[in-house]
Amino acid sequence: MSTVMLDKKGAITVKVVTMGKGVTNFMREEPLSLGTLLHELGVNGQMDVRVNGATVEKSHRLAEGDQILIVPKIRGGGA
Amino acid sequence: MEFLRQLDLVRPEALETPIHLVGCGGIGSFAALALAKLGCAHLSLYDDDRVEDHNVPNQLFRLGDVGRPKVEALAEILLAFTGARPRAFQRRLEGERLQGIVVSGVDRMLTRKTLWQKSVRHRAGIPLYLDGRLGAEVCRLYAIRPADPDDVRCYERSLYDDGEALPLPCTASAIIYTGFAMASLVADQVKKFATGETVAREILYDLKTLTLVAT
Repeated sequence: MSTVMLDKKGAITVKVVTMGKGVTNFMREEPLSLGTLLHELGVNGQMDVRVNGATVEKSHRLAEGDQILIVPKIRGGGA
Repeated sequence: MEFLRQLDLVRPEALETPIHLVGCGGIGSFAALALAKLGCAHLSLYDDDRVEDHNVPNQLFRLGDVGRPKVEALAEILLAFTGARPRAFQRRLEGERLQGIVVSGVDRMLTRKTLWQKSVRHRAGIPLYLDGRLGAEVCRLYAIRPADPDDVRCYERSLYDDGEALPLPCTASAIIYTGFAMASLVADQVKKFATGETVAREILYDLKTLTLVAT
């Protein structure tokens, strides 16, 4: 697990689990919306995104300790 | 088979419900073996494909099965491993009215949608529908009661189009342990259903990050 940090007061740290890729802690200055984070991560419509287990709008404001789960929309049966 | 080591976990008589496995590849072949070893007595296999060389590393098939119909080879393997005699259908489902549990291990979202709409949705004769999806090291498994409106709504939100799905290179789409993991989840859900335990509507399991989420 890696940590990407900004040395600023008023920052929050969120945990991003990208299934199939890895786990990263992000520290960013507040306010931080889900949409801003996803844009930075390059996440597009081929992924489902949940914050603390729930589906939320991209305008959702992230809080300290939030866990963001990024799940690829997979389709295979292993043929 | 003698089920002594699992008798207090699930009784053989609880596993009499027929199970239809649609797709006998990376999900279906391992799930069939897991279910047969679990003691599921009435398995039906559906797949119109034949075994190809590239199937051997990530499906249950043997080198000598290359060129054979998957359902024929799989039925032979199940018989040798467990004594089970599944019904094998070398074709796709065409909207038949099924009775029993249905397990989908198909390759495309369009095929999933057709299976769901023509053979599963709102069918009272299907108490449980399991839809497995594999991609590289990630498993998604849905356990849906087709007569339950909440389950139906939840599941239909997950039926994205093939074009929305993450494209995976053919050299990074399947690997052996993901198939085993999915088979374990399928067998576990069938066992929970058979014993009256709570079945998770959605399970996400990632072997890469070792993340397991069940809701």
